[in-house]
Amino acid sequence: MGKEKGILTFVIFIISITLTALISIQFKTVNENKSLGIESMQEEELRAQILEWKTKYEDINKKIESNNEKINEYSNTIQGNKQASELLEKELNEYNMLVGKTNVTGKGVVLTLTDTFLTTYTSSNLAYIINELKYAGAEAISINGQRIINMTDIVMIQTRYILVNGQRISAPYEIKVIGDQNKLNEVLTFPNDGLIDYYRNNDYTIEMSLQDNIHIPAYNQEIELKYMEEAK
Amino acid sequence: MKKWSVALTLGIVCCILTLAISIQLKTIDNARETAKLTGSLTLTSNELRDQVLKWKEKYDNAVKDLENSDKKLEEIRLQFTQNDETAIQKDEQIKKDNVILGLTDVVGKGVIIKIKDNGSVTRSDLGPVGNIELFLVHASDVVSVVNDLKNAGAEAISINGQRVVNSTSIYCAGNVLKVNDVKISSPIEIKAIGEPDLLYGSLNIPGGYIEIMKETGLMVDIKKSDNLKIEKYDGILKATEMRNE
Amino acid sequence: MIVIIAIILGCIIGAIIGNFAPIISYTYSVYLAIGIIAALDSVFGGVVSSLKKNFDLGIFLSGFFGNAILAMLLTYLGQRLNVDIYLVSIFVFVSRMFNNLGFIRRHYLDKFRKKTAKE
Repeated sequence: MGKEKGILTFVIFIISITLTALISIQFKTVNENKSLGIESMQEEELRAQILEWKTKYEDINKKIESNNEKINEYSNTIQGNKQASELLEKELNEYNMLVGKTNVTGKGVVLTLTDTFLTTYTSSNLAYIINELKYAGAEAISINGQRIINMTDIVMIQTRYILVNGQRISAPYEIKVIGDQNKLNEVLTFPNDGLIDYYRNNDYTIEMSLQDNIHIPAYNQEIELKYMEEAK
Repeated sequence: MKKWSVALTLGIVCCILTLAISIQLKTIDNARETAKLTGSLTLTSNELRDQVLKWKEKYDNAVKDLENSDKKLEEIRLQFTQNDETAIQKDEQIKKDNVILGLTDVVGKGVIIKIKDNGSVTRSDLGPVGNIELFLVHASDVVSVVNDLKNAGAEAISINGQRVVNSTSIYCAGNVLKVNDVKISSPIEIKAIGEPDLLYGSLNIPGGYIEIMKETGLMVDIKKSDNLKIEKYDGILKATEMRNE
Repeated sequence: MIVIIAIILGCIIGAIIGNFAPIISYTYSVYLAIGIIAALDSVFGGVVSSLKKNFDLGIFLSGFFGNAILAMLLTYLGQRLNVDIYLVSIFVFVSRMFNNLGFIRRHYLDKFRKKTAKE
């Protein structure tokens, strides 16, 4: 009797392991499906989703590769060596470029916005335009020489002039954008709904030109972080 | 003799059954093939769903790998910066850049804004035109609020957990919002770190955007918070076109 | 008593394993679901038979794995033949589960009533 009961207990033990393991795997799968919302998607949407995840995956992989390269370079140099400090300098420059603390150059587009009798551009117009430019893949943006960084403020003062980065700017506005020219061109000149057509249809004056050698100046103020700190 | 007939009947029945099954199998396979070729039917959808999941999983794993390699890079950098004043300064600067770029989780004081579609819209509210659009949260609403927050000196902003970084765009795709290319739906929760009183005050000014949204029937709620955590951006900031001068 | 401990321990370990296991692909998710339903059905069947005092380990084990595998095979056949056989499997398994649950409920209710009548 004792031996039989032992076997029984063991079998039931194994069975409950299998069953709960399978159930929780199934739960996880179903949850994942739900959170992606792919259950109800049609073929076209699914294909778009695949492409999206694939590009995201490839982007991350590229970044990992460049990280590994840097790690290799570091481990190949000797501490305190001049080479090491050059590496560090190079890295710092990359980060500074992403923040907007360096002058950058590259291909892109230049938008010129002019006020008319009927229409004046407001600060929220500029905010929307910047949002649209980022959607079109802009990597660096400046308005009348003011570099747009992540914390840039765009304020209208008494409907008369606009402050960008706390500096007064006024019409005409020249917006310089560095980014993938094809994508910028495609998105911005999209018929009717694109930025250019949208503003023209509403009687605003807007010009766009593709340029191969655009210079965008650095953000020239000190960035102070007073309220946020890195989470431990 | 009887046994013979039983066997024969069974044989014939089995023959018919297998014949029917194999014909059906062939037909279905054929239909699926043509569906694949013309891309018309949704029979291949499950395979596509598989692929979505597969790429998502690959991506998730890659994110973990990236975190590891980031840590490794930081460690090795630390090794090199020991006992070297300028190197330490540069390393600090890199770390600060990372915080500014939104590549780290951050904590601090700030405000939480909740915006909800107006749930109590009735047929008569819609008027003769029936324009429900007015009662839904739009990309432009979120862009305006984010801009207002930046104007009031917000240092870090997230929208439903998506960190607002240099490359962040907010747009409508069908009837959902997308931030950082990730779908987001009402209720929308915007967290911002900065001086709470300043953020709260400047959002709430008369004639400000919050008031406009409330008038159009959106439900907006702002709260100050002393202990906010804003998650990092989990994508990659690209710099393929621009070069340092 | 030891059986109950074994069950609880098993469930905990199983949940942990499941949490660390990779997710399965969408196509096979249906099969796993059917297998789980079949296995659950066997579990309730086992409980009932142990209440009836005619529990047989062999029957239980073969039912647990056999039914699950059979259900998956039928689902596969159904997908090949373009008939949603799995719906019927679910119907059968779930209705049997309800029957068994009903038996368990009545059994314990009777026990409870007898106990209160005695007091």
